Amino acid sequence: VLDVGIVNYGMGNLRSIETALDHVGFSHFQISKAREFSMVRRLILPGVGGFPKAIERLKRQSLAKPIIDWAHSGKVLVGICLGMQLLFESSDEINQTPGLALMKGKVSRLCCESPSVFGNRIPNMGWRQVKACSSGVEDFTQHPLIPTSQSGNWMYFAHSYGVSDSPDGVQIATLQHCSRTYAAIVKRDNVVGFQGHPELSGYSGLRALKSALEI
Amino acid sequence: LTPMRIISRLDIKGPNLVKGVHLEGLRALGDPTEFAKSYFSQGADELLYVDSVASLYGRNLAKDLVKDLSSEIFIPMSVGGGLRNLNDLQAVLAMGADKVVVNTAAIERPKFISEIVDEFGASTLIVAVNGISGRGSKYEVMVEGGRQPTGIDVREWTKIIQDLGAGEIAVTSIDREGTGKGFDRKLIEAVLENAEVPILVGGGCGSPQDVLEAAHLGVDGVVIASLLHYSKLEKEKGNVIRDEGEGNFEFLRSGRETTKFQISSINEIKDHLEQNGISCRKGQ
Repeated sequence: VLDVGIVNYGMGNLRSIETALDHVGFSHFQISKAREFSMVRRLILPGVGGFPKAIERLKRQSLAKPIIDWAHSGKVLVGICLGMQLLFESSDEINQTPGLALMKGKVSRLCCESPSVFGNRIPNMGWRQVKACSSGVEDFTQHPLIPTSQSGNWMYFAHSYGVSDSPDGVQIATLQHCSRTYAAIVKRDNVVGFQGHPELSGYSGLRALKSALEI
Repeated sequence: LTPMRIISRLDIKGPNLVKGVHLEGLRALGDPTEFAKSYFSQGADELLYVDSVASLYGRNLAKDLVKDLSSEIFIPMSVGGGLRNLNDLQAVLAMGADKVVVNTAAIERPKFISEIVDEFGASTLIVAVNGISGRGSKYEVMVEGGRQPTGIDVREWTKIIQDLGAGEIAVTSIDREGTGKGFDRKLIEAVLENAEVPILVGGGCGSPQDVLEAAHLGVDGVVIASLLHYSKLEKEKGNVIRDEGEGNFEFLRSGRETTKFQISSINEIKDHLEQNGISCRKGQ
């Protein structure tokens, strides 16, 4: 049994995740069939591209239901970028498409009234600081899922869609784009999602990814 | 405000990191993996590889190179040079690239851009535009490594690229490329006029002040090659040349200093940005 299974459903580059896992010392394996789930302890759901196509491919490979069952069984599931968005209820990308519904919230197009103004351009690409959530009882300022270096909580992002309505308690950190707030890091029990790319966010990103797998 | 990105560009030819002026007259500068690792630890936000003679594909040496590079470097890595179809892109992404860069193939068949976006997503695609100054305030698009004119206006072409769904546009000034004379302000302004996607600019960076000026114009990132390469070589003077194989090593052997560039590390460039109110990521 290996430490981590990376779901391979033809959506995006898995190699950067593999090299990140090598660096933090987790053995890994690419999973493309449901029966291979028994060979690993944790799952990473990566993804780059369109939401409807991603759901279609997960279903075609008969992976959607097993991933939902996996999460319900209490085992660790980490979604990255599009993989994080798939954890939510639905997305309005191209058509309204249901997601895996492991978290409450909807994925929608990053919104902007003045897209040509510097800082508002879409896709939202590059390094951004995420803001730890601290609402009432819960304070996530020191949360290990947040990449932290001496100059701040930097993470690399590359996305055109986001989740702006995920509930308190689930959001560990948020991201600003064009005066709106989106979920950057989410966690519900054993399920973690990163809107950015921890595997491409330097050593602090790798630490956050390791923390997610050890949650 | 959106943080500024410093993208380190590495032109590769065979086993060597190379650099020219106006994209021509390539000098071999050394082992690209060593430069890449240095830029990662200096705080580069991204690496951009360009295979200057498109020799990358189907050659095991180069495949191993990209593999080597991606195993020690935990920032986004873009790869371009001679990518002509979806299979080429697939191969590069499987080797460990996070984004792909296309240029000539997109000019020849603009629909290629939307096909890439459909297959790999907008944020996986950078369309490179090489511009050269023409009549009046016009800039003309050049292809085939900056050697072949197209008659297409840069302003119009960047608008089309954007409409076809590309995630980022990287504009290089052929006039300034490798000269250290500063970015081409007019070219940048022309591209920024209607920009609704992130704009990266390259060609001519000679000092931290040039980067600051580009940031003030409103670009999302700067692409730097010569300044970083010559700064690294200058700071590590006396090191032996490792690869005496193929390539033009005259420059390195001569020990000649470069005077066109204000020797600076990525950290020093970022310090300068921060001191002047431009946010950027620092540290690991």
